[in-house]
Amino acid sequence: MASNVIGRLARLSLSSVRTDRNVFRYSTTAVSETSLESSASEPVSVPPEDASVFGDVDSCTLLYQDALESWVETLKVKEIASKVGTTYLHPDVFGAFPRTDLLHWNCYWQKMYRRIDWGSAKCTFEMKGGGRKPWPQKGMGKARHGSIRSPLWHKGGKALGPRGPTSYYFMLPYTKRVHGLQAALSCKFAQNDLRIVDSLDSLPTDDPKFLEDLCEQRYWGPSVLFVHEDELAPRNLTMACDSVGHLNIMPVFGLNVYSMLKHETVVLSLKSCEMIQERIIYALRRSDAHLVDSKYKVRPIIERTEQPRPL
Amino acid sequence: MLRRVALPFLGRAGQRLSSTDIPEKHLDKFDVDNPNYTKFEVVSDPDVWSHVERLMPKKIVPPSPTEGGPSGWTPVRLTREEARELPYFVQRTRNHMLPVYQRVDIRGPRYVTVVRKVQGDPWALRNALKEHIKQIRGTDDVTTMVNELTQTVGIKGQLVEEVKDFLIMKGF
Amino acid sequence: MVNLRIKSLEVLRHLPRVALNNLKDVPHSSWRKAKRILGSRREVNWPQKGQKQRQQYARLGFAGGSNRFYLEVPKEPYNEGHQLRRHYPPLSLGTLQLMIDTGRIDVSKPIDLGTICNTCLFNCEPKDRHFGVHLTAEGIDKFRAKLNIEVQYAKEPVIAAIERLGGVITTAFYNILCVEAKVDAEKFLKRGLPIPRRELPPEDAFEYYSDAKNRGYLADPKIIAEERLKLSQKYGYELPDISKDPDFAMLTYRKDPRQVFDGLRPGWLVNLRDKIVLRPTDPEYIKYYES
Repeated sequence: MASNVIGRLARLSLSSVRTDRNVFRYSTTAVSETSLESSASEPVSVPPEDASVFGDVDSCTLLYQDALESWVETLKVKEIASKVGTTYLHPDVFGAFPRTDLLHWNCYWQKMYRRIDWGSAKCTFEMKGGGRKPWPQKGMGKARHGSIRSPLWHKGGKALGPRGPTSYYFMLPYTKRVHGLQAALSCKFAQNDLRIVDSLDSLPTDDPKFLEDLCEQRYWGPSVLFVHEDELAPRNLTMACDSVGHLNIMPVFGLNVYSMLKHETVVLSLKSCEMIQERIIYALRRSDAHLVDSKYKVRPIIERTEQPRPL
Repeated sequence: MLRRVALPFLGRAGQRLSSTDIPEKHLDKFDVDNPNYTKFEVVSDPDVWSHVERLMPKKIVPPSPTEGGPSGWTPVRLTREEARELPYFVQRTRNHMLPVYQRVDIRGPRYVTVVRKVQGDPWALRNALKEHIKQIRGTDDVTTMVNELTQTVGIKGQLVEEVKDFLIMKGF
Repeated sequence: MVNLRIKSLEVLRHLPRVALNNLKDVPHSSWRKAKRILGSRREVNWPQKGQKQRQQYARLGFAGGSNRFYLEVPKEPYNEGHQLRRHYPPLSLGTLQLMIDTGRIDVSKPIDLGTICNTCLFNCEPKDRHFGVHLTAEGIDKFRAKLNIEVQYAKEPVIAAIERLGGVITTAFYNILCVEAKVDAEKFLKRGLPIPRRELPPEDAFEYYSDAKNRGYLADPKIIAEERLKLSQKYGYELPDISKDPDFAMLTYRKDPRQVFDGLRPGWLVNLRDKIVLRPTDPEYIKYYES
């Protein structure tokens, strides 16, 4: 992980940005990534032992797992050497077990819960006419029929067609949705696709080319999701992303598993990172979690063909 | 100009009225002198709001106490160093209880005691539990299961109390 | 310890990017439940023609003229009219002690239905005609807390267990609107209703709540004091003198019989938005709510 590049932080002057939680450490000099790779002395920074730095009241996790450390970058310069400091991340949010099955279920849910199939075909009795027997049963030399709108006939009804709008609505249990977010954030972080930026206003111009080059230089994937703490994003970033299809902005309350996995890189602002941790920690520590789902009583109907494996 | 942001679902945009923007048809209700409606006054007691706030506590589970109690509940008794030395760690639930449950299949004949939230090496926990149950039962016939993905360890049988005693003994 | 989380996340670094095209559910995660019949209209599920369709079946339940199953089995109407009765979901002393030990309930303040429901560990549904808490004696041997508790129903051993430790127990009645208010105070206040006046118990419950043996809230406190002594003699413990207790004020705190919330009187209207509390000044309203 990042432990072998922390050594260089010894040269940085440390001062906390936020006084309430001493988590983010600012550096006065920009440090180039190439110079960092050579150093390998012991880490200066000690991960916080108490969960209260994250606003968490009680975390067993910190007993056996350290808080994760992440670089904090800036958008001021295009170059890759843009790191301004580091921050600690809660291991339950960004270092959770990567449950890919829950990621699957979250994406499936997001696609399906609002899906409505509008296909509808009329039955025999819904077609106009066809109430009367067209000709007598016997004696005509013709085939026997009961109605001119049976499925056999031209302009007849459809026998077993789709019947009206079909809804695929169901609710994934609350804890699975929360765990899905934890897993998505952890997978992204582990695979180096989660970047934290001090603030999304640090973009100096509204030129889309600047932003595209920035993403190129830093090897940010073709599609990037910028997560802002407010619903109103900074002007420069908005103008830059407007014309580019694969650079998208999202407010932090809209963060979801599908979008995180769809975009190759997810860029969080420091404030939105804090808000995400707060929200997920609240979801993990709230006492009424079992009551959130009580008004949703719909579960998906799944057809499986295999029996469970015996113990 | 704001770029249309990619929201997965529509947020709850509730139409909220501030006390100051009241529609015209309801203005008469806010007229203090109107004889058709109840006359009211603001309660002047400064402590009144604190009573109201006490009615609506934020529903977060309070932190785990450090000492056990007469009911038999004990907290986690491991320090950071001890926790990291062990090959496994069983995390408590959000209500500070041990995550040991009994699952019942086929309406009775199949009971499985499951330990959830196993961090570290679940196989090591399984082996330790197996030994412990063998000693209690006196036989080698202990069927177990490990699911690495869901981080659970299961033992066939109704052994919730025995498993809980074992975990408390280990300090979890 | 080899942290499985960290290890699996490290393994992920060498694997292809987790994306929408490589997600899969765990095999055998759920097995086949009853086949979805209702959505299917095919003949496989609704066979046509044949002897079955053309028969003249008897009415449902007919068994050849005698021994109809639904009449053979006798009726035991224990639960008849359950939907009209008052229900008091149980809370055992053991569970209460566990809640106290895990820090969910603060013993230094008076406990009532609202405190218990706010822990989110007790299921009280006014919609199902749950009128409050029935404190049961399960786990009575482990109970060691001195507290001031107000429940809706409690039997003698439970009362003895609490009083023996120097605590105070009261049984009080809340009508269903007040129960709704207590169970989820925020939801109730958001309805914009004034705080209700607690009604007196109905006829079949009045005797219970005015009996000192049950520590009813309508009983005479002097007779309650006598009953406390009698109970201690019956069960053979020494009744602690709570007047000498430093928590005497907290232990003897009791709500007014018409009061629902501590510190707030009936008739008051709480404005959560502007954070003020309003009260009526009309004499008729004051008379009604203060009676």
